[in-house]
Amino acid sequence: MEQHEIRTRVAVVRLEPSGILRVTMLPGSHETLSDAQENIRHCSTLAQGQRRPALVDIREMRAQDRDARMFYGGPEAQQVGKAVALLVGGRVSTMIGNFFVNVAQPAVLTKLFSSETDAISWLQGFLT
Amino acid sequence: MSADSGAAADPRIMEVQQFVAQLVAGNWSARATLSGDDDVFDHILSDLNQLATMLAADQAAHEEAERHADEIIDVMMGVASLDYSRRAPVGDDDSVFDAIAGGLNMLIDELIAAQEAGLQLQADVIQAQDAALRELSTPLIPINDTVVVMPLIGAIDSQRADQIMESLLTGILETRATIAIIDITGVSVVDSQVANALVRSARAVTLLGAQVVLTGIRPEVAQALVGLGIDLRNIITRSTLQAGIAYALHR
Repeated sequence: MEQHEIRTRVAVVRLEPSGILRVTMLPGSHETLSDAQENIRHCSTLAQGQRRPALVDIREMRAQDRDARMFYGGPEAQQVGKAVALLVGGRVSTMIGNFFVNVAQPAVLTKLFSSETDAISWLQGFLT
Repeated sequence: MSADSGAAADPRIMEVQQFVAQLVAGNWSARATLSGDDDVFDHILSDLNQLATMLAADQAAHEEAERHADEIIDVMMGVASLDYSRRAPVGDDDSVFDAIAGGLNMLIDELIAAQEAGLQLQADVIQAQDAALRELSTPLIPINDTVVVMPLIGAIDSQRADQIMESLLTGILETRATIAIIDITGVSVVDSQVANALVRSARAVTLLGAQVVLTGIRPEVAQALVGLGIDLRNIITRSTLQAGIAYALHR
């Protein structure tokens, strides 16, 4: 039976029936490099080696280490994600999201969204 | 009967007055006890109790904000004194202070990374300069197809002695020279370490089928070499570079 959802220390990684990868960061989570590596590994497993659009919900996240940020901006993440919609909510997640986009300068096309509907709509354009 | 004496005589009015006075004095933890008569005084006191609760909550929030701001300022002051080890606490409230604290922490991380990158770049530049300097410090100049000259200037330590040997041997192999002139006119101090390095280099050159001519031996250097008991029998020596070149070209 195909696995569609994996829970890690800081996130729930899921492959939606639409083909979009969804990573939901757990409330209060503080992500380290090893967390980021684990998340990408699980994304890769669920995506079965295909590059897919990904919705990353960081609304409840509290902090992210720089190593994790730089890892997501690097080549490993590029092999998994085709485009990333970063879903932000309050002040902290918006701050984290802006740091990621502007400082880590991810190799994968990444955009911040405060509306989940808009994020999914944008990602659907990357489904083939 | 006057209004004042009437008011003073009413204990309920006095109670309200005293409670208001407590609130005005900043005692927002005070609460009035209602009589249970459900009269106008109970209503006023009930409203005042609510007001006191709100004021107390505002005060607590204000104190919490000040505490959080102080923590952030402490971390910023640490950064200002180049202490990057501290981080501002990020709470669960998603407050403006949490966002500022989170942003500050990420900025500190970037500052550390930039500093490390700067130090690495500096180390790389120093290493590259060192390599270039080492190469420049042991130049091998061809005079013709068979003769090369290595003029040495400055102090020679063990690292530079190794570099002399390496450059000399590599150069002789590349140019197929048969004579290598090592000129030590510009070498400031010739001690046993330098002398031994030169002798080792000369022996190594001999193994390649070439010969070393040592030039630029000043009187005090000659005296030092004799004093050190360095065996220079297998090395041809000349007092000046000019004499060394003349020897090599007419050989």
